[in-house]
Amino acid sequence: MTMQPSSPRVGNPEFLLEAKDLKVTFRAPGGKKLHAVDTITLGVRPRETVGLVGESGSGKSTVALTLMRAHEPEGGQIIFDGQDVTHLTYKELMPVRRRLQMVFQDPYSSLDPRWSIRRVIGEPLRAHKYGSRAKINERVAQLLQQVGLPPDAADRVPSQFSGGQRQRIAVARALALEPKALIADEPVSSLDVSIQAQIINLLRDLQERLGIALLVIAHDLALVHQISDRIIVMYLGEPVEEGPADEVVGKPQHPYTVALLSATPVPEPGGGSKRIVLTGEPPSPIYRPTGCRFHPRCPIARDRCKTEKPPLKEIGPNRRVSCFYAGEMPPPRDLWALENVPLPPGVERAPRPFAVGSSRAN
Amino acid sequence: MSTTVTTPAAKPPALGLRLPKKLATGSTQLDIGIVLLTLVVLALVMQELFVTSAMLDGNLSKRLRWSGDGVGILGTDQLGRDLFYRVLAGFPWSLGISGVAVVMVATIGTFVGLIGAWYTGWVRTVVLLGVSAIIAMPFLVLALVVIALIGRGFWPLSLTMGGIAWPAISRVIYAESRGLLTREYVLAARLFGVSQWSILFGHVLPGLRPTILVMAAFYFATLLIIESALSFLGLGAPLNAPSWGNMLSDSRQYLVNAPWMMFVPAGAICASVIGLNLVGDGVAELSRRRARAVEV
Repeated sequence: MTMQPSSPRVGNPEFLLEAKDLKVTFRAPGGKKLHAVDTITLGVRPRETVGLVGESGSGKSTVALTLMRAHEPEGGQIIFDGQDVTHLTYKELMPVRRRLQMVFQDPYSSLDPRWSIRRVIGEPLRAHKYGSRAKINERVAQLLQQVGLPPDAADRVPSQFSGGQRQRIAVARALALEPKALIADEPVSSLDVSIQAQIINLLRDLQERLGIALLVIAHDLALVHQISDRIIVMYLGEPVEEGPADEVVGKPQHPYTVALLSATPVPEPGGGSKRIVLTGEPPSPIYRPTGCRFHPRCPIARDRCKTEKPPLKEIGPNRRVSCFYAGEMPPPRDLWALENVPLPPGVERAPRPFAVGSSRAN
Repeated sequence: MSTTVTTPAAKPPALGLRLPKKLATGSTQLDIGIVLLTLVVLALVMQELFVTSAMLDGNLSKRLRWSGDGVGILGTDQLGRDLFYRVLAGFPWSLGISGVAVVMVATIGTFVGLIGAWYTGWVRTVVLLGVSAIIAMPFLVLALVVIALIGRGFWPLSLTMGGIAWPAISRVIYAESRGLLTREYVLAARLFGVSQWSILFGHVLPGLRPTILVMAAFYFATLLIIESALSFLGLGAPLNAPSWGNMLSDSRQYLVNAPWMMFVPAGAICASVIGLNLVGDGVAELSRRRARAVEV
């Protein structure tokens, strides 16, 4: 709709947001290169939720910011809605930004403390010449209602709201221009656990209602599993495993995914099974290990892993993993046993394990 | 979806500094500073309303008197001019020159600092090098050279001082703006496609307000002293003008016989400078307190 008639659609027509062989490098002190993302290929379909998981430093936030064109990729392609946006200028990006928005990790720093909520939520509307002041105010009121805040919130400033409420405001701001796709970078990791479920439910609700595509970035595999259709697990700037959410969580193939899963606390008497604790820090993205990037911390690594890099190979429909010994490491416990854990009264069981609460429960 | 939203019923914290309201709760130094500055402003108004040029004329028969028949409360100078009226008439000169200069300093300094912070690459390099180059030159010497070239008087003096004093403010604004530009709400604005100037004026400039206010107050005081120094050296206000620097310059030869000739203008300078500094400190403290309340 906003494309020039001359430019044909590019990329996979299935995907709304697509990254092809995306590579992002930063300059590190001493002329070294920091390989933040190297390389990732991903696609998000319309109305689909994709979760991007990994520990801090795995490059997942860099992927988000690069897709938003806040970082310049060193290589690869970013395609949004059939248009190659990799090299568009700030001005040329305007129509893209209208349809692709972002929610940030920390609602304490992503809202200007001096601005009223009306001004905060109206900011993207004004930038895109949405209409008269009255029209903008009307839209702000509508958005506040959509995210479950009272109309009089518009005249207050961010410091008068709790973290969860602020994140609702940030979500309202991101939705202001009715985007087709939303990137949420750790949308709940700075919030209290009790609030996390609210925001996750809000995102899920809004997605169902508005039909937007969601790319959720988080370090908490259980949480991502709860809202995602598909999951991509990242380690040191590259995907190590991807597939449908239930399969990645239910039948993890890569030892790193297994380790991530075992870090999830189990609300069960006896504490579930034993945890696989990864030794050491994630390696530096400046001096990356040879062979498989994960081999220094991998419990099942063999000699081959030290020299040879496993390719990301297809092991099923939509299912990829990069490990020579995929599936050899058993999941730490029967993950589906969670289905038997009693829930507090009034909370419906979500259709997946690791439910934090369902969208209709509260 | 949960909609049990509880928000504090308190009023929004004051956006912007409402000094009169804060007076009662503000810091002591701010109170003293405001009292001093109020006196200064009062003097300024009084001289506008009451001092006529006849009052500034000299009467040689009453020269160098401290008291006596027909002598004002602050004595007379070497030409028999009433020092009370003369020091009052000095307010628009001294405060006016440094006032115009400080507005220039704050405006240019903020603008250049913002430009340096926003752009990367050669623009920033040029800005920082230029700023450093001007700071590297001794201020008084530079001012003397410029004034010697373009002449003396109210406007040449104020424009010269404003034109060469801003780089120090630029430096501070530059550093502070770079900090503000890394905030996530600035990144968010950029990802919404908000224009550069909207970001600078909407997000960054309001964040700089306390800094600018504080710097302006201190620079006002500094420029006041520099103006007096230049006048004292004979390169400031015109010789006849009742600028405080000129008055100090005159007093030098009569220090022993008529010390009040020095104390009167010096007192005016001190009151203004101390007042401005106290207000600057007070504003800084208030904005720190406010920042704590806002940033959580």
